[in-house]
Amino acid sequence: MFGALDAAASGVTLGRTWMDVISDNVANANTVRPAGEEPFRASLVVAQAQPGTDGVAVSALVQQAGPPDVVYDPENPLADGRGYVTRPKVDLTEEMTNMLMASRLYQANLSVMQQARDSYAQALRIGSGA
Amino acid sequence: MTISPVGATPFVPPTISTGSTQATHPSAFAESLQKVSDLTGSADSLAEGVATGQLTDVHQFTAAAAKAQLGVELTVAVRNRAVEAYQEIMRMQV
Repeated sequence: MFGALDAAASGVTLGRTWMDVISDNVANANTVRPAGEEPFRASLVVAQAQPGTDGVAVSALVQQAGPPDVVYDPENPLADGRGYVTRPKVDLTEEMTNMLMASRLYQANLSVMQQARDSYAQALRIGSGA
Repeated sequence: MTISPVGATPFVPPTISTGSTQATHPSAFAESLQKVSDLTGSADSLAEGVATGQLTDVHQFTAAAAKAQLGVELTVAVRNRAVEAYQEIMRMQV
């Protein structure tokens, strides 16, 4: 019963998870580590259609790939003997663009839920004369 | 070409199933009521989750509450139609 509501709710959950992950990425945009250590890597949400049922689910969180970004910063207390630190693998521009998409995804699914709910309520009024 | 006489085919009375394969009206109605009861039950448990702060997805509660509300409205609509039909028959001139 009410399949449209369930599918839209799973979409809202995906939007919420995506916003959570982006929030974590942006919060760690300045998480510097000593050179040679693995840098903080931004997480990417992988969405997947749910087989057999309606809706979507988060299938995995993938780490941002690429070589570590080692910069010279001798003033940094985390710098190694030669004055190098590892910058996090986070692209703020990309994250903010994704944030726009995530919040729009959230709103779009909420809108679908609202419309479906109104439609079901209208169907209950068939023939009631009102 | 020979045409077989009508009487040659024996009359086989149609078999009438005696229920149990098809859901009768009262049991179907009870099943629907059980579904609505489940919907309100899940909305209640999610409301507890909101109150205790264990629920991370707030929309799950609002979606469950909307489904429960629609289910109850549907039950009331069906009940009203049944009562209307009954009253209509009782008003019939004999």
